[in-house]
Amino acid sequence: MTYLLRNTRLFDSLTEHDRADLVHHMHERRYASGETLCTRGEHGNTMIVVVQGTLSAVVPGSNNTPREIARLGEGGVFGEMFCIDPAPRPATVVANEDATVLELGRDDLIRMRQQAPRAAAALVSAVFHGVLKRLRSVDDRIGRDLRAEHGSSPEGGTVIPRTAQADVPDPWEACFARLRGSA
Amino acid sequence: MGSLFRATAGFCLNDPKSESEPANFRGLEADALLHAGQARTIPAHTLLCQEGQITDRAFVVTAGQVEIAKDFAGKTRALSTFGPGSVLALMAALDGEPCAVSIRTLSDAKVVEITRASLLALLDPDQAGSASFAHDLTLVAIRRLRGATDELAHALFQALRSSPRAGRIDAACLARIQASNHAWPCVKLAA
Repeated sequence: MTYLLRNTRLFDSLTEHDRADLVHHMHERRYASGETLCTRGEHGNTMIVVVQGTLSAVVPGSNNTPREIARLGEGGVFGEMFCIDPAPRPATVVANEDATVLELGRDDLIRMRQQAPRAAAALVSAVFHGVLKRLRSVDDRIGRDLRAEHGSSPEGGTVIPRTAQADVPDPWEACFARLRGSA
Repeated sequence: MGSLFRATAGFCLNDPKSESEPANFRGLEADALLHAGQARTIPAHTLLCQEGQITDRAFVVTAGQVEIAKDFAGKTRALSTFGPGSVLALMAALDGEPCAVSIRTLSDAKVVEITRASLLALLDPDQAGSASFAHDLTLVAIRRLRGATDELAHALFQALRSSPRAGRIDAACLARIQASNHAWPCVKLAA
């Protein structure tokens, strides 16, 4: 099964042995087309890797109609932060077709730290560097907005980008529009 | 961010009550971080990191106070202060990108200066204890990322709803988010 993890960028820094250890601690799950893997707002503590099929992440859009914000195919991964720090899920994830995934829960990761510490360290370090990149993206976006407003001061303000203002059905959507592609 | 805001906005924000463990370096992990660097005594008003410049080292404050500041149209404005237990410039030290804020000592201070190479060595999977260290570091970074996202969402919410300046985000609020991205109060120092 380790070959399934080769296409996932998150696991690039893991050795073949690390990947084998990781797969050993993961659980295979199958979902029928249309089935929900997790629901926005519910407590999440697992990382999911798509083995077969496609998944969609959706949030409520205008008039509460589901709006797809991401699509994951084979090798796609989500929830890598949640198996380290459980939190409410930001989106609902559904299977677009019959799908098979590998799942790593928080308890699995704790067990992995004891039984395969090298692989656990490699995985968590990889997640750390990914989080750092996202944090830098948020930071860069803020920096660009502050620089774009010549003469901006703490007493002033910076104009919300037109794209964010144009389709802002609710504040979370505004945040998403602002962070699209970065967080 | 208060519960009223959460209820009003219907956000899917991160609930601190759901967090199962504090995001801090404690015990062995804190010792590993502190022993990875070099202890230095820094006089008051010394610049540790200049806004816009690249740094290859992070700092842990062990005594004294530091100030985070940012340039606004040629004027330097103080954004926040941090004390013992704060880790400064870690993101810039690790990713090699310029620091978005300036960091200077407010008083005579003691810091532990840690190079990028030493930080990466702590994360090396072949190093004993790296799994625990990486876990603590990642937990801190995740909380900061989620915090920054929540704060940004809050700023947007306020901007969209506020009158008469509707449509404008508070620049000071954005700058404070940046300040928090570059100074993490996350090391529990031994008494």
